[in-house]
Amino acid sequence: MSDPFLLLLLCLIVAVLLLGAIGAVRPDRGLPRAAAILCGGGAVLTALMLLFRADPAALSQAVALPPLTSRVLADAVNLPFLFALLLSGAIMLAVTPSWPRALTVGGLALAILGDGVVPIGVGLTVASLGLWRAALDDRPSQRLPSSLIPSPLVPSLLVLAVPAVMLWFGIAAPTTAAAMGPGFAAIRAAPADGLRAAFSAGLALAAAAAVLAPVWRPPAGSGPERDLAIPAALYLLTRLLIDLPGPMTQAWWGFALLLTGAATAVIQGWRAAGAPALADGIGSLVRLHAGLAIAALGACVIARAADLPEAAAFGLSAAMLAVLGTMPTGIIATAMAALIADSAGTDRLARLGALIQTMPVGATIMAAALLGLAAVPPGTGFASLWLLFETLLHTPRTGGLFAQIPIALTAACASAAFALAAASAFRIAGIALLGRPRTARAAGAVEIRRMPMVVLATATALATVMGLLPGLTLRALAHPLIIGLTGVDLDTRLRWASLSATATSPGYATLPILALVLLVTGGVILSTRRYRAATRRSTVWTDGQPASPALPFGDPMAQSAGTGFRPALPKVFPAALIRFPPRPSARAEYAEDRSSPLASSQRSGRRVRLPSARRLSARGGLWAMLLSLSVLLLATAVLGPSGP
Amino acid sequence: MNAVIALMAQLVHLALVAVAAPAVASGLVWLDARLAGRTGPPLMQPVRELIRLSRKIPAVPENTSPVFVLGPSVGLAAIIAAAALVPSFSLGMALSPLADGLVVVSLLTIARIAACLTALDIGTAASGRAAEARTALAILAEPGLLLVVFALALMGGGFNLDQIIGQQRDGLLLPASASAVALACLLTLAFVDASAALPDLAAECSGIDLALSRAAGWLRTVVWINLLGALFLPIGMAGPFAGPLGWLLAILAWALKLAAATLGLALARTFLGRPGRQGLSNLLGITALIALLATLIALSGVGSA
Repeated sequence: MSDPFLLLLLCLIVAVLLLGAIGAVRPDRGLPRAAAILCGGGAVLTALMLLFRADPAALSQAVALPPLTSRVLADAVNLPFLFALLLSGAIMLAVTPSWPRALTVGGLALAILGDGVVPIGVGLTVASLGLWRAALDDRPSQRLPSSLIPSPLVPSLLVLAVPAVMLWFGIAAPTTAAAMGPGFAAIRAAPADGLRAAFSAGLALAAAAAVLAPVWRPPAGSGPERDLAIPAALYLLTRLLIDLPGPMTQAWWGFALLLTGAATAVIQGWRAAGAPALADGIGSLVRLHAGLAIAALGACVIARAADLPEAAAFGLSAAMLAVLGTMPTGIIATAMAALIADSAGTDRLARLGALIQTMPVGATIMAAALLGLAAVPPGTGFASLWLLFETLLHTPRTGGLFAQIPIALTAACASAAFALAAASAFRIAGIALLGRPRTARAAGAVEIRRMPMVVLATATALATVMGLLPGLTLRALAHPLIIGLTGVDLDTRLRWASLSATATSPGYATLPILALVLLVTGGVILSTRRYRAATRRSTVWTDGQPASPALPFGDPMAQSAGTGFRPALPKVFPAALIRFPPRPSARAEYAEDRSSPLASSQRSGRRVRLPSARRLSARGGLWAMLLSLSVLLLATAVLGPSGP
Repeated sequence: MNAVIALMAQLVHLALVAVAAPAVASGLVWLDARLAGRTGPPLMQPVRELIRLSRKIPAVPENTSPVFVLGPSVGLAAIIAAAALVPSFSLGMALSPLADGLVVVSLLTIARIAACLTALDIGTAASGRAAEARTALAILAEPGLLLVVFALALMGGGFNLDQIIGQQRDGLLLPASASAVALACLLTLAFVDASAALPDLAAECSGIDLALSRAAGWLRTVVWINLLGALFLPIGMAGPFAGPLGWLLAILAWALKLAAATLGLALARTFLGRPGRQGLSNLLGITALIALLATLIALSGVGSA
């Protein structure tokens, strides 16, 4: 029954890849748009498969070398991630079309759909190629930042290395061979030992880290497509650390994930609270939620290792809500930021302002997306955070005080992430959308065009509904995954519009809370309406200073530019231990600022030494990438015995 | 019948909070003055100011969006919603199933965000600085508050406030040391919220908008006092079906707690002074660390139980 669906899904993904490849040869804006339609179709198809609980299905096809049987699989584990990726890809390609993005989406989709290491490795490599080419788009010098160089190599290398290195060490050779041929089912069914499981976990963590590397430290000039790698990385973690090891799951994997995710959330939140540009701030917010999702997966692993399926189910629910709701919301905000940059000429917060008056629909869409990212009710971010706290509440209490320290630290980081997410999202909204325009170009920004408006408004409505009905979202799209991996049916706890810890206890009810706030707001507005019957317009008070004719929009420095939202760190924290990163684009801003010492020294002819990244030419990088892929595939083929 | 009683308790609670908010604000101003050796304004002065403000024609600056008009109303609504969820004199109110600790914290956050967005919409230097200062403080204060809620939830077995308070009333909120440390955190946070010498967010508002902002500030103080009283001193709180006499006694006990908290706050403000921004930052940093300690004690306590 579901085989035709899988075949159709595979055809759609291959078509997206083909369109991307054709676009590389003959650039045409129509091709990425067609890819957007295909991605949207894929998202709908995936949603239907999830809604109607399609049976797991697999398709296999031997490629050039006999052991490299390429298989694709659609089951409860990968379909929710695929849905999130295709939905995000459709939004991005429809609003900001480009062929490298089509390649990225197609490659990542192939990696998620792959059954076994070969399609995953190939998919990640293709996606990295897309990411790499996208970063070149805005670089006439054809030079790449060094941080992107290893991106096509490392994930594929690590994923392909799992069976190859195990063969090298002679650990469970038949199972390893099965990993290349029949796929995940064989790995799951094979007898596992602690060493193999630990080794695989280490490689899985490294592979996920490599996939996330360009996301975590985005190089200057890289586009919003980097955030698409987040669902794929979270899928790898879920598949390799939760699904495949089964009973061999070990608690320390979870602690590693827990602390990594929590630290990521705080660091990215700190960056978001001080980011000078719209895209940087939103990207950091998305990564904050990705960090929380990783922490939730870590809590799930710990709970599984301690045989606490209910806590594991809560952790998985928190991660899945972040993947299904928050990630597409982040892509909406990112795409909207790109449109704002086009319309207003810049995405620097210090040069925007009053967009709610010049592009009201676009600003409303951006505000709704930011609400989802802000981790306050009724956004999906808050529902995900609530589930993470519930998971931490139900994590095992074994292992003494030492084992509880990571839980307490994660709770502290999640609390800090809550505050930082709310502050960062409202900072972006307050500076970019409200106030007075800070530049003539911002004052002349025009509304977004009809087509992106329709796409983004529809996607925003969908994301808002997901936030309002978190229980329904999880039940519709992630229920089989939660049951499959934890064995717990959360039907009684995930109601349509509420989440609760137990079947009888109250929990977080989105719609009643929203209704309460709206009811009271309506009451306040109605009861004070008569006091507003006569209002008078007044000019902005500038401390008595007359407006300068040279500055028709007022002095831009008279408004907050969003630079003071981060607090001075308390002196009680050891500064040596907490070294938060500087603002990502501080150097670029410094170089742009004509009044800066850098600019003045350049004008005066003095030589200024600034750190520069090591770079590789695009052509050299392409050859290195293709060569490494060939070597990897060849090594896998040589090391692995024949498939079944 | 039970639902009717719960609804009545909720309505009485809301009415009491509405009365208590200006009373506490007036009392604080009067006590501050008396403790500083001055006569102080009449007790009804803040209420009169509110009425006077509401009668003035509000001035709406040019270039402002609908956010400027909606912000004060949304902020007050969020605070009212939080006040409705935090019990004062009785447990088992109609909205108690919604009284999740994390939701209450987020409602307080929404109220602050609404006020900050209103300030940023005006587009002046002073309002922008006020929004920045308030947000910077919140980034340090909110993690501490959330951690306190998490520590209490660890001890109470869930985030629902009624559940935690019920266990505290029965002496089941263990370990007591974690409870005491959490109390210290919450007291500090309440003191910081009521005493922080920060620029006024509503300085550019006028008329009814300014009145709404002031009312939201008063209600916020009452929410803090209710949180402290209910979570750590639930003495005299009525059960869900206590009856009229039980309610009356509980209301008297709540009034006493309110008066004691107002006096304590005024004394703290007088004798400890109003810390500056770096002082506040240090204080909140210590609070966060203490909240982390409370969480650790609670985690280890639950583990050994």
